[in-house]
Amino acid sequence: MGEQTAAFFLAEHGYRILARNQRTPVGELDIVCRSLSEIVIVEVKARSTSEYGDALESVGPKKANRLRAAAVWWLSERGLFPCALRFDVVTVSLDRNGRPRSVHHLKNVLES
Amino acid sequence: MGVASTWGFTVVGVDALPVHIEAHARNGLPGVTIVGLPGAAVREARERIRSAAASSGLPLPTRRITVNLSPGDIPKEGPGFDLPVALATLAACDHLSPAGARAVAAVGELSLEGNLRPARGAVSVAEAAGRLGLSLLIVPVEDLAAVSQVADLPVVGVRTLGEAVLVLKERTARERLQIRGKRWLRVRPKSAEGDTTPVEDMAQVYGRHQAKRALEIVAAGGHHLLMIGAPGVGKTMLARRLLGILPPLDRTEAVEVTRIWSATGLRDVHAGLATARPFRSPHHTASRAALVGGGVNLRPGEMSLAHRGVLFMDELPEFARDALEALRQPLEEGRMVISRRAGTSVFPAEFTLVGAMNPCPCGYLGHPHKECSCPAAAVHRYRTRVSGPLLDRIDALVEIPPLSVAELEAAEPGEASAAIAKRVATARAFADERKARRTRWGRGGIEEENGLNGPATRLLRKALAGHHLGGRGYVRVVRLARTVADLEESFQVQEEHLSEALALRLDQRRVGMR
Repeated sequence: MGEQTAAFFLAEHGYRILARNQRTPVGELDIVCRSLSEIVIVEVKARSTSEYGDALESVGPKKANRLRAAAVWWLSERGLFPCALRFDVVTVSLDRNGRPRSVHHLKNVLES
Repeated sequence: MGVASTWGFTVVGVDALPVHIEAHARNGLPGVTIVGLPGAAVREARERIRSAAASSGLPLPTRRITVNLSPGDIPKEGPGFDLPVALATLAACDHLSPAGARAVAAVGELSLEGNLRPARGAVSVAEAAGRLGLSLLIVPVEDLAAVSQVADLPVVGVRTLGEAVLVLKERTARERLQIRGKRWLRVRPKSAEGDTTPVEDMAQVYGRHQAKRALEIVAAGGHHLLMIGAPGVGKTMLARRLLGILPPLDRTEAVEVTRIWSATGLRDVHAGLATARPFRSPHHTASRAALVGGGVNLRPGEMSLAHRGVLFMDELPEFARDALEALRQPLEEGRMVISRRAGTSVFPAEFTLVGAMNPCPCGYLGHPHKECSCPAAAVHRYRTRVSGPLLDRIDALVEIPPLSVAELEAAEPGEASAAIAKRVATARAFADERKARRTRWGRGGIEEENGLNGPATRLLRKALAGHHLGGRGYVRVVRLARTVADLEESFQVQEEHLSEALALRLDQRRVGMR
């Protein structure tokens, strides 16, 4: 549910969705999309609580490394890597009935 | 996107080593890596640069950014790398043209807001940048005071990262900021705290004519002095007043002093070049490293901080043995060569050493009224803490007797410092002139060179036979006599000049120091 909302949200904001729910041997990618010349890897976090701060916190160092590895794997498989690359998080907060209430887009969350 | 480079500097000892900073932005996992042996402070520059760039409206793109500091085998230290690394990175990310940043050096620490703070060693940096033949040096505006005095290349003082970028982008901005820098130099806070310690006047010291005469000779010739006297006779008082009779720093000396102090980070940067000679009086618990300098990134110690000034070592025998022995090389050569992990550095240390000590542990040996309570062995032990080789390098030695009641009551103020300073300055000027003339004659023996006349030579021969003057002692006595003659503006060293020098030197034996 959350992922669907996030994809709509991104498409509405000018992102071209390239793939969803990709599995690689090193991890999973929720949404792969493109914005101008940049590939954007989006991690979707659906939360039923009202606080969305912890959604970002749930991308810890372990998850971050898995995301990086998976992104490199997926892009390399298609001959796209190295390319301009960005990691975003989209948090979707859901109300009690599981319906989306609000969407937040956090850009460029993985920089080291 | 691509490669861009600038120049930065790492301060090793008192020198600034040029470091070529390259930045490369490419596609890949976003992030910034700094390679080329960055120290902890340089590695943290990454976070400061990212925030400062974003705050200045020049966000770093989501690219893989690699920063290389070459030469790669020298450890880089200090937050002064923030600005050049930021400029190279921004140039690599197309925020400014790489060509504009190529022949530019920069130094400064960034705040998260993008403001610039002064870093250590600005004077050495300016000199090094001039030697490299770069076209522009960007410094925090506070550093302009000292840097504008020594730099022989265009310098711009900036307050923020945004201004630094503007300087590299637009010629008009650069000219505008240069004008602003000149204006700032006029209105800057001129006197720094601690710079304005009032120098006490020699006139406040009653009597002590012998010691004052010794200080005058020491000041005129840059000799070293040891004062021996009971507690409370005014050894410290006299030493503090030595500063007042030394001539003011000339320009080269001022630059040298400022370079050392700015490399240590002790000097207030607003103040510009040093105006007063330094006076350092380290406590006797100071370690060898504190006196000599050193540590991981080779910081100058007390001896270098006293360069061109006075190093006053009160309670000389109480200093640690190894600390005292470390004085030997600087006393002889006026500099120290220090080798540590960070590299080898030459620390200038041309100071006037003034030592003060008691004649014995209780302090009253030879006192006219008080009884000394020390056993002979204790006196011997106390004195042997100042080793022979060290004592040999100290040219003059005066014994300061306790002030008698009659002298105290007479209470006639002594000569003012200004009057003595005038004589000292004249003697120094005379010595310079004399040296300039002598070089035309070519080199003779040390006696001819210093213009000893017949009777003086005979007296010197007698002294050599009678006392155990070593080779160094001989040279030092002649030099001391030369200074005495300079004070009287005499080209010839006469008998009385030499005898005064011998008296100052050979007091060593009279006081029982070996």
